[in-house]
Amino acid sequence: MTPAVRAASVLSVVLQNFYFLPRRALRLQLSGIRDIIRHTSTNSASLVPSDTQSIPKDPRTCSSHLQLDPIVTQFICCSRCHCLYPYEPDSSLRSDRELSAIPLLCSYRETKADGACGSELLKQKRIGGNEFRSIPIRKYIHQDIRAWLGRLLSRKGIEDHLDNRPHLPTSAAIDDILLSDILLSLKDSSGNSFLSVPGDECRLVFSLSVDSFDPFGNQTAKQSVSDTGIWLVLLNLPWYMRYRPENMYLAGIIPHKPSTHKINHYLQLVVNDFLELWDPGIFFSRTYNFQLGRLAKAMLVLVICDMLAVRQVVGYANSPTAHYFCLLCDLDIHDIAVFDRKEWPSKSLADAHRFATLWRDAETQQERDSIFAAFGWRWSPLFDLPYFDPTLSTVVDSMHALDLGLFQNHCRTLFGIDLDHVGGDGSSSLPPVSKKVTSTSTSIEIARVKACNKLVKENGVGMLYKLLAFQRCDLYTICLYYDIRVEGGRHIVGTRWVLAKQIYNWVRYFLVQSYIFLSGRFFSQRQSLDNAAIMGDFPLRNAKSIGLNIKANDDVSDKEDSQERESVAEIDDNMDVDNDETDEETDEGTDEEMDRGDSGDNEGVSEDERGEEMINVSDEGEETGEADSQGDGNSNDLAHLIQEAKNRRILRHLTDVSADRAVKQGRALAQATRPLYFAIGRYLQIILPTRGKKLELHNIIVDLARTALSSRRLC
Amino acid sequence: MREKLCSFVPVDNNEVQSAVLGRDVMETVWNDMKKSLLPSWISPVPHNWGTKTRGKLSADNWRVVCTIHLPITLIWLWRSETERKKQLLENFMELVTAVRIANMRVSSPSQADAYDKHIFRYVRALPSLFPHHPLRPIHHAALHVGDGIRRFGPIHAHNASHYERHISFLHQINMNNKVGEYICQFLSSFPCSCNRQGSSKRRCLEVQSVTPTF
Repeated sequence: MTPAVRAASVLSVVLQNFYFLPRRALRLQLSGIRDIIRHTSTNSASLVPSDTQSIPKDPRTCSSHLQLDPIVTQFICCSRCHCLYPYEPDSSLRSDRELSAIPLLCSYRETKADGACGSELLKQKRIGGNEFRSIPIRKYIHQDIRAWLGRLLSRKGIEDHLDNRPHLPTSAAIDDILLSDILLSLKDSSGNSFLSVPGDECRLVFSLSVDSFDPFGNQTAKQSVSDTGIWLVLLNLPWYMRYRPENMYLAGIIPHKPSTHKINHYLQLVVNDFLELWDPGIFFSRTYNFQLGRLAKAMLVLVICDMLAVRQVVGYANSPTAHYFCLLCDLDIHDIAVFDRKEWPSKSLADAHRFATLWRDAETQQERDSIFAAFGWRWSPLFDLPYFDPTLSTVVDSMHALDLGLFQNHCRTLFGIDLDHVGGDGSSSLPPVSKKVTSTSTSIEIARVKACNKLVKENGVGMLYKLLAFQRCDLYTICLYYDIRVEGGRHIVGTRWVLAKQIYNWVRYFLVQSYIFLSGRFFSQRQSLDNAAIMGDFPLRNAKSIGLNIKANDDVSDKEDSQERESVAEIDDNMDVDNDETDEETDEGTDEEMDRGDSGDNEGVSEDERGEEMINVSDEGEETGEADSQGDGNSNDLAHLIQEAKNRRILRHLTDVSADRAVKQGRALAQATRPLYFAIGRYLQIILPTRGKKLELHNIIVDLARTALSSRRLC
Repeated sequence: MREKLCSFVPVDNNEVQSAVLGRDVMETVWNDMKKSLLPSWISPVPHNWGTKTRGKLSADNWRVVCTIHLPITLIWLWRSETERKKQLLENFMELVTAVRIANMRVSSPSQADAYDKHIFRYVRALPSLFPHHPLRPIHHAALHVGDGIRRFGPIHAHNASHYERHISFLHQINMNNKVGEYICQFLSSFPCSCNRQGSSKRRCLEVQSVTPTF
């Protein structure tokens, strides 16, 4: 490329990209330059006539000569479900045959039970005469992060900024996000500090922003068309470089606005890149400072969007006015007037992850809807990132919340701007709005609450999930009635899930403690028959006094217990804990009963009238498949595992909290397997963290037993 | 007959809420705006903000109005009020203080605490001062801004203005009014211009002018 050609190309590119000249004008400009050169070259020795030939006619050729075009991957995008199919235009445009790799109709299925989407992906376009060619109806272009990062690292000076590791501030005040606690405490895949790693590795942190906008500018007030952009900002750069267009990574612009989870297809592309960047990282064969190449690793640490988009991106309930209105705490919209920070229930990552997974793996659309209604979570590809925590990594964007939110709201709504009247004091003759209090409930509502109450009293299997089928107000009523609230809390707050969990815990604590110490589930020597008196009607007698922190046990039960215990002591003395696990069946042959599975259990339960059915153990009534994810799906497996536990006497070690705890814990841990712990957890109706380690699971079970023990002793 | 009937209708039903920023207040604000000299790094607000002809204000406009012009005028205007207007002013100033603290260039735990203190006071007083307006989710969201400062440091690194700026940048790119295909053009010309800037604007990289975010 001779200097003249280069100059002409650069000029056209600058005009195109800085002054946004249309292509038509650029073609004119290029041909003008060609003419000038042709006429001057006859007089000048430095200009060669051939230059006129090599000056491009089209501005697009200029930018490709200068290698300015981004390196992108193209996808065909389904116009209905936004599913993406890889697409290579160069080959496919030539012949229709090569398009055959792309399905003509979208074959994406939302859930297993759903049919394929079935909308068309390609359309016929006439290209002169009677010739037609298939072209995609909608395309999505994704910029490759490897190429983008490679170009960035090849620029002079960038690496100096990137490698400028944050210095710990001397005072408490920090001036940039790089010094913030969260970023400094990031860990890489091997557990070391992510940002301050010794050696030449390039460690990058990104933030993600997604927003919709009108591609035609803000010409009309009503937005008719919208597109959605995905930006990533490299936070390692100093703040004055971070937001320059050349330093921001625009992953792509989604045609139109995908609703709710349909954005996942696009986010998945970003997440796939980041999974690779997390572990093992991407090796660049040569950068500006490192001639021999260097490894780059990156994390996605922050999601910065407005209130709507952030919910869509992390897979939370879509509307900020829904029941699930806050992404950072578990308050319900009805608790919006609770200002005490201590009362806000915190969100847990494990819960969110579990619910999102449940939603993703649901078989039918109805199931998905019910899961979403109960928990408020949908799946988001960001959950694939092992380090991502949606409750920690999202911020309330101050621009939308404070400037456009509070200030605007205060001036326009609270103060009110009225140019026709003289200013007043903002008082109103309108009746004050308050929480809607309905003094009279409809019969349907009463029936619902009654049904809910019955469920709580019954305390059947899978109660927690059955509770979630009720509306939040029903659960609230139950909480109010039994005075169930968090320890130290003054209000009953939380979303449906929080309330259901509280009710469940409340019942469970009572249940476990009475069960452990009254029926002697865990103590073989003191095994007693059951005391139906307490178990049968506990909500009526004890509910008011117990609460979450079990306050009192009635003396009656105590006496009954001790009497029974004595009477049964001899019988059970030589039975050890192994038999106790199947209390229902102790009367009959235990082992056969277990093998018969669920039906057998139910028979056994109906035969004995001690009210033991509350703790009907080998159930298969869990609808939400929590147990399935833990690998012990059916009751046969469970029975088998419990049998195994019996043989190994693990349950005894596991749950004996009386003495020698360390020794027994060690023994139990050595013998038990994770599925076994989950079986035990399910057996006791305890929710165990799906990802928990063995020791963790062990401790949860033992702690529960100990809490019950200590509260028992206090009484 | 008609008059008789009318007498039964309450008179002031039309005016359900007396606006605070009425004609006289707004005119005072506009007058004061003309007299006040702002530093050059504060972008001026439209001189007739709040009128229908002016239309929407940007986020930056609202911030300047509420942190500069309204305090200047309202404090002077209501200097001798004792009743409700005094409470209104105090409440409004809590909000202004909170936002100014949040927008500081540096952050520290004590700053986040101060933000929390003021914003909580502000939100807590709203139901009693404006009983006819329900609390909105945005109020609760504002209570969480302090958490963001504690976790991620000063607010300039984690607010949304950068991509909003980019959207206006994208709007300048010519796309021939084609909805289906301009998308490709967007992406191909956007990073293109970025790359171009990267190679030619190197001199700008060293400029470290500290622009206070207010």
